[in-house]
Amino acid sequence: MDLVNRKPAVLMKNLSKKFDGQTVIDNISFSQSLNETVAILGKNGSGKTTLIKLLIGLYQPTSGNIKLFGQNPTKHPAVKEKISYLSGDYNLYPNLTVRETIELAASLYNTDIDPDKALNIIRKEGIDLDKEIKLLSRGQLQLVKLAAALVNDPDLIILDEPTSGLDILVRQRLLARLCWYKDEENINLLFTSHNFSEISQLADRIILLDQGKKLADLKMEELPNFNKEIIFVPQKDLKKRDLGLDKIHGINQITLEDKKFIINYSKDEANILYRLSEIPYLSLKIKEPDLADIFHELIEGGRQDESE
Amino acid sequence: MSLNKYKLLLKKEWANNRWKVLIVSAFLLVTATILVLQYPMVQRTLELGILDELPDWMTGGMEQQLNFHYYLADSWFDGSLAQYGTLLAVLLGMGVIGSEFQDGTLPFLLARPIKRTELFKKKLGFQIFIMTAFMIILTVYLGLFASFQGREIYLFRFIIALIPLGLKLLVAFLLTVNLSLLLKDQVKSGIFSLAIILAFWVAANLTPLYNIFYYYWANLADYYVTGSFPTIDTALLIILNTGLYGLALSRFKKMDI
Repeated sequence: MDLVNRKPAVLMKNLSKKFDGQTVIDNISFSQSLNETVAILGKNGSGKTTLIKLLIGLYQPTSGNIKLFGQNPTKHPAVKEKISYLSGDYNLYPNLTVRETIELAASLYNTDIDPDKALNIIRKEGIDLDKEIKLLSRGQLQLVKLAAALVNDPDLIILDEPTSGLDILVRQRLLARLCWYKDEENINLLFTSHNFSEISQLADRIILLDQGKKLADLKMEELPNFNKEIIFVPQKDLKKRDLGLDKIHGINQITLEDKKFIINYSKDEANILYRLSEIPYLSLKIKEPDLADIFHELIEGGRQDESE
Repeated sequence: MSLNKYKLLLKKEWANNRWKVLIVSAFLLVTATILVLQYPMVQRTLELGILDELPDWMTGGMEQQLNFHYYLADSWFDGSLAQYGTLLAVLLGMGVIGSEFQDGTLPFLLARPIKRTELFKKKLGFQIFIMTAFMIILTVYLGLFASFQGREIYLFRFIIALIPLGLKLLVAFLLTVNLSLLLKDQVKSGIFSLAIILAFWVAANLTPLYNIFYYYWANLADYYVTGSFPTIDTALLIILNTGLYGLALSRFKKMDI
């Protein structure tokens, strides 16, 4: 698609949205260039979902302009031929089978689309294609949604809290897939999250949103390393060295408190989780850095830097 | 845009609605059969002079039922088919967009390169096609069954009468669609729609404003017997439907989903 090669993937200009007179998105502008992954980070109620729905044309803006690959998605829905949307927010048709869902998704484009590639993604995950959607687990459902989103070989995938409600390992698998599509198939991603770990794994750039306003627009290199913790309880009594984490560089400290390992780290989360997933465990939890701390660090810290 | 693009979507729509259509159709098949079979009994009852003993408000127009043509058209076009058909129209109208809102499935469709207008027209068009097929099949059954029972049928008028009747059912359907867009809940939209229709029925029967209720426009028994087509009432029904359709479409195009 020629347009895809020339225009920014996303261009948003002075975008505002009001519901019943209350401003939910307040004069936001940003652009996302090709081959860039942008994350929108914000607390619950900050306007992330509204922003995404405006982008995909599900909401109508009160004022401002949106262009995807140079075209307004509401006036020119054809631009969505190469765009996909994935959200934990919408549902698939409960009475359709997985296969019918993917075929339905493929049939809604103007170009002839072979659904086999998307069906293969699902097959690889071990999901029965003839199973009805209502019988799938939440994690399986999200993978079917991802496959349905990839059915048109998109150049841009817009994701709204894609891992919301998923357990850690399913979340990690989904993120690994997204990382692969981003790196190997050069798909642009624009996603929202309130989970800093996801953002640090996927994003090249981060936009901070609070109460509908853009607070900051930063490249990932500009961010400080935030320490995180994994709380891991194996099934058997193990020593620190049994975890096999010695060669992973991102780990700051491992402490053992009554069969419970607390692994403090600042990077290499995917490697750490991959290693731990091979050990039979009773519990595995990630303690994310607090969003309030991140906001404080990025916004207040930034303001201090500016004044210095 | 080819219909092929929507083949799977329409298949899904049919799967969601087939039980509504089949159950209402089964009721009407039984009703149509009984209507024809019970006519000799109705005729005998009327000939006994029972009407003379009842007060006028209970017997208005009943003597006309001695004419089989009037009896059949009044019981079918202004009676059973109109009543059951209204129920089916409301049931279909509830689901067309309301079920998508309730199930949270509209973004799955609208995030893809489909114009809202096009989706709206296709979904509504398919439901209207189902309603039309429902009316035609059942009316043809009634005509054939009556013929087999040795009754004469005015075939042309029998079919043409379906046009104003279809427009009446369309009013109930589009009213429900409008309400489902407003309430975003299929059950509530169905209940409110029936409540509004009932309120008009009550107003038409208890006040001098008989013509306030669209259901009483275009008397099809009169048309079937006399052959005088209710052009003005049909035109009014077209105008009402156009207004309701325009209202629903403009709301759907602008609404946040």
